Amino acid sequence: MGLYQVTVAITTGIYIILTMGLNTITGYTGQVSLGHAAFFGVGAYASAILSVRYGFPFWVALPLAIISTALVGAVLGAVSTRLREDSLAITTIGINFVMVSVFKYSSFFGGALGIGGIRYPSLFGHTLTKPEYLLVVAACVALGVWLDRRLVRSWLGLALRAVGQDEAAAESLGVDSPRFKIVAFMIGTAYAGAAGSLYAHFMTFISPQDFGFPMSISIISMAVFGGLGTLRGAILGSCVLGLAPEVFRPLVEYRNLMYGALLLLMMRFQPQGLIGDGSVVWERIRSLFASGRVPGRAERGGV
Amino acid sequence: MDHGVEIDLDRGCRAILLEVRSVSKQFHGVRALQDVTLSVRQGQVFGVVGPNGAGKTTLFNIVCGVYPPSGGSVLFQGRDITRLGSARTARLGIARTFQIVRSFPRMTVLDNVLVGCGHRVYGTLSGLVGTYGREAVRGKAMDLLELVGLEHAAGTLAGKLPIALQRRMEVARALALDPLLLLLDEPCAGLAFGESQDLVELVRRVRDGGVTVMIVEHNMGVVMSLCDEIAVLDFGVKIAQGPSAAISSNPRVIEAYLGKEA
Ligand SMILES: Nc1ncnc2c1ncn2[C@@H]1O[C@H](COP(=O)(O)OP(=O)(O)O)[C@@H](O)[C@H]1O
Ligand SMILES: [Mg+2]
Repeated sequence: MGLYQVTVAITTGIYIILTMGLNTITGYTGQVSLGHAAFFGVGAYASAILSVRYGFPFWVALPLAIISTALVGAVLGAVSTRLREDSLAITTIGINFVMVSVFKYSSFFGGALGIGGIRYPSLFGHTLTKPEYLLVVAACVALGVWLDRRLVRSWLGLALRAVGQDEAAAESLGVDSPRFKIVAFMIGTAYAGAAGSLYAHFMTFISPQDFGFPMSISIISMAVFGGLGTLRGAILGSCVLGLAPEVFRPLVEYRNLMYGALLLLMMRFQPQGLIGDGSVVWERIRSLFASGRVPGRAERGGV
Repeated sequence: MDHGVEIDLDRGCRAILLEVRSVSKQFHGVRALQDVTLSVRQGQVFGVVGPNGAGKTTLFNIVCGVYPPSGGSVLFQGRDITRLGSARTARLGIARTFQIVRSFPRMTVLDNVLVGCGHRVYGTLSGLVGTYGREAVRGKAMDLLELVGLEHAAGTLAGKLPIALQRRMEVARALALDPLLLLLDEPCAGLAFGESQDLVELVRRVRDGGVTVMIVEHNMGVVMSLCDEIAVLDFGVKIAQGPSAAISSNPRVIEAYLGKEA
């Protein structure tokens, strides 16, 4: 792998982590968030400030960034429990813009210039090379996947999906939907915090516009394109949409236009996404493999 | 019907499980309920009947804590539950089904029921994040599916079941709460005759299992064969209450309800 490929792989890994987080909030729990990049930013800035101003090593800044982002996410989650679906979407867009303004106009966050001089992580005095950093990102992706599987197989995950599919029915079964929405936001934004920290230490320089609304649209496009509510969809969506601009270089300029158009097309013609549960492609794949399966296990969703 | 009266006498002295005291509810000036008072005894099948728009569903929603009443109070086992909210009321042991079926459509039938089993692990961290399909809980959920005759459909996505079966799934899911009181809102709506008979049988079995049942139903055959006691609502007002036999011959009821429906 050349350095260019390593860079693309690292970026894709960061996208996967972001999309997995959004999938927990919007896919499993049904809380439409169009401002996920704000939390990506919170994680990146938290990690950058801890590292540059306070001299924390990456290995400490990363978990602290995750925790701080999850706490900010909990606040938004608490707000979301008071909003209806449509107003939540608008509110999260608003939060994204407010967050970018805060980064941009406050000197604490380095203003419009952002924060530079963020150190690359080092281990036992050795500064990691790019390929080594890719291993760190890959480990984070793997951990994220493992945690997601655990979540889906737990009663917590079941309750989140219940809230996402019919809140009134979930409540009638004793599931406190506000609490579970807050938990969903905390989990999803924790992923964003990790992605932010990885991004900051990889770029070594961050500025407010990295975390704007267009970034949020990219993330939700990836989740929707792959298939909202499934882990495989989140991963495939981030890989395809993350790599597309690299493969079709001339399209880079139109990247946001492309993502936006794709998002609308998917919502209109294949809301289940490319390989989500019940999508044309996934049903095909399943029917190919279903013959030898035990009936009753075959349709278990959410994988 | 004689059988019904017999049961009524037998249960007359049982403890009061649910008390609805002078409950009123207004929606933007629409008076959905006015000063409704009734009490349900343990072990009863209690019917609530009345024409469309009489306030039956509103009454159920208030009992379940979906929204608080504009006035009055609700007591469950002597405890005031008027403003507890839906989830906490459910965990106290009041389960329900919906007039318009509300499944978790993209979850399997078994998973739908497992959501209802959650109260036993609720609050303990290990229960919350451990694997939910643990044998004990899963076995209990499968038993419930068997009770409603859905064991063969455990792995089917709930949204793909026909409505009649989704209604049964709702009953199993509600029973997963181990409720003391089960509220059924028009469980026979849209069912064929045979399917209604099956449902009547199911409700009897649930009652025999020790669960008190409150049921809203338009099918008078079903109501008469199931209920020990019936309350009649009309325009949000309770116009009659009594044993099934007495209600069906009450002239006010015939005029208000049966007259219009027939
Ligand atoms: N959420 C609501 N908002 C406004 N009006 C409502 C609401 N729920 C019920 N109503 C009104 O209250 C009255 C009683 O409705 P409902 O309890 O559904 O009757 P029933 O179940 O007996 O058919 C109707 O006039 C209905 O339009
Ligand atoms: Mg009704």
